[in-house]
Amino acid sequence: MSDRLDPRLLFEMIAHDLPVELQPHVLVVGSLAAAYHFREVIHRDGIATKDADCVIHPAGALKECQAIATRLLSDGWRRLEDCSPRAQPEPVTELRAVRLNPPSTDAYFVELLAFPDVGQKEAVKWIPFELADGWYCLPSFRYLGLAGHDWKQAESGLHYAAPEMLALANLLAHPRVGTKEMSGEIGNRKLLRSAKDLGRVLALAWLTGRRGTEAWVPSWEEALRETFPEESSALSLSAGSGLRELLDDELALDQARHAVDVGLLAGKGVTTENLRVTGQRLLDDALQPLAERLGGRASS
Amino acid sequence: MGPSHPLDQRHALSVRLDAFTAAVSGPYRPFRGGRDEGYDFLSRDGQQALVLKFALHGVRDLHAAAIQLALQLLPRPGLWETPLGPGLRRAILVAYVGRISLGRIQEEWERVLGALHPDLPPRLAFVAVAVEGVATVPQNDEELGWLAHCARASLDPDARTRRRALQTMTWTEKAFDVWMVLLDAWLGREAPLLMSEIARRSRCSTPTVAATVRHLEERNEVSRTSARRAGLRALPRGSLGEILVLADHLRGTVRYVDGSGHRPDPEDLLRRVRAKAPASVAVGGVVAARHYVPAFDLNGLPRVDVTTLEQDASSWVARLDPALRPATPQERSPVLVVHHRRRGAPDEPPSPREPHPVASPAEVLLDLYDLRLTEQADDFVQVLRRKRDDHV
Repeated sequence: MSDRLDPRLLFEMIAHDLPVELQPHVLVVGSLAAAYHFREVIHRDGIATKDADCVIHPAGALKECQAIATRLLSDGWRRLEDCSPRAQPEPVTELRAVRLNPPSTDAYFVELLAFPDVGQKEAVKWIPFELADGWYCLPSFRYLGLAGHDWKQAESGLHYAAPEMLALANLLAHPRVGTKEMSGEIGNRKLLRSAKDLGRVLALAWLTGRRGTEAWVPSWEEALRETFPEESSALSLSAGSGLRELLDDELALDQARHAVDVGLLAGKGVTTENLRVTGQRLLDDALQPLAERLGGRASS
Repeated sequence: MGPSHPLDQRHALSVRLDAFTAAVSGPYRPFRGGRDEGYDFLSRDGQQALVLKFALHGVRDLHAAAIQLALQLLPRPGLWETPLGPGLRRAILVAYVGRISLGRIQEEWERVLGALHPDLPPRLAFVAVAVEGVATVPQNDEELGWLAHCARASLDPDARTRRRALQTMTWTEKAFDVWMVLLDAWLGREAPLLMSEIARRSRCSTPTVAATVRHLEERNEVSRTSARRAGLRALPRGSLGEILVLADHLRGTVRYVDGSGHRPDPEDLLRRVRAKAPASVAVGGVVAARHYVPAFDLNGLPRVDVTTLEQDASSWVARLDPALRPATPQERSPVLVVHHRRRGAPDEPPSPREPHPVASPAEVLLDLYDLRLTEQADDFVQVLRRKRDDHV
């Protein structure tokens, strides 16, 4: 049996399972948001993810996060195996994120993420928070704040992040290809974290098409100015650096191809050459103009 | 003198066949249907078929040939494939009839057609080459007239001079440049050009111009109104056919495909050409055809054709779109085709509607044939000539 799911169905299930009053605080991000946005063109069997990454907004809404988690648990949502409480808030690296299956199915789980503060400097910050049975954490990814711009609304009413903002967040999160690997395997292969995330950027660009990615520039500019008012210029200049490195790194690019081949671009037969030129187009059409508009010069 | 040796006869047939094949090779390609005699040709758009007969010795032969031709328009019971098939718009018999009078030939042809199912005669045509001249049925059909011209020059056993000229023309880049200047002048309905003007426009030496003009004159494609002026008599279909075979070499053509894995987007590419290509790059192909003939009969844009004086276009092509790469021989659907032009620019200058120069009509015509838009190419010539007439 296929382990892939139609993103439309997943969105409908989440909208059905999540209490209506909590939904305005939830923004779906990650691969599920991307797959839903491109639901008409991705593989007809859907996507392989079960992970519904949900950012709880607004920023600093710790009480809302606690209320949402408490409500879900009281409604019968079930903790995943690795989602267990700790007795103390320290050390924070020992705390587990909140990952819950809905009461009636194991088809998906939600993972709660915090919406980052404007001033957050760390790439990822682990925010301790307490539930009735102990301490957990909320991961807060610095650049996911961009997902609050131009968000979209699904047919079910749920909010999800725009693909261009997911792309920019991933570009900024990986200024280098680096050596950090994913903890698990994707499609029976160990991958670099950057290859997976930058591969998703390439998949989003490929699915959007060249005319569409040119239109990302003004949205990116506005989002960077609002989200990172002090650093928008520097970030615009460095946003393409990791992608450039990826395109020059055969091994990493092949990993990116593998990641998209089992993910958003499954069944499309996309090659590393296709991805390389998609990346070069994105650099020429979007990242370079962004650097010129915000940074006043060519990107590095 | 006794009868010629069978091998000589076979060689003579082969020469005539080669000559006819070369003459019609622009719009027609050989198509061997598997019959016991004769050779067939199919138009490149698959709409018209030619059945070629080197000799009809009497009216019985003509009757048999006409029936054979009519059969090409019908499916063959019991066979999976018919050689030509019922989808053909027209089947044309091209035959050398020797000393039979053209009047008698036409009479017999009409008699056979009268015996056929009424659907068939409008789809049958006849080109006869006889000692006394040529005839076509129906008359006043431009395509048949051109075929008669080709057939007379190649099938008539006495037309050795014309055949020799057909066989010995060697197309160098210089000769091609001279030919293009003559073609542009003809399409523009210019008066015959001074040889010095041809040399200036083609950037060729006077001896090169003179040699090329002489070759074309021997083929009856060029007329010289005085010792110093020359112009094409009509669309030079014979040389056009030869040039189309060699066009990629003569035009320094490089074809580019889209390596992104997406369906190519020629409209978007055209927008980028207009925004980013060097100012000297002239837009050709379908875009230019529409510029010259606004009612040009084609929906959409199959690809972008440009001509440039630069020998190496790779640097600005990469700036247009990093996904563009030269096509392999197996890749038949380029999105961008770049032609190198050596001679001066007869292009139309930029305009508010078209920020780049527009390639000359002769370049555009070759682009259309290269795109296999044969009917549109022929219409392009007709409309352009008529348009120029209106302006004269």
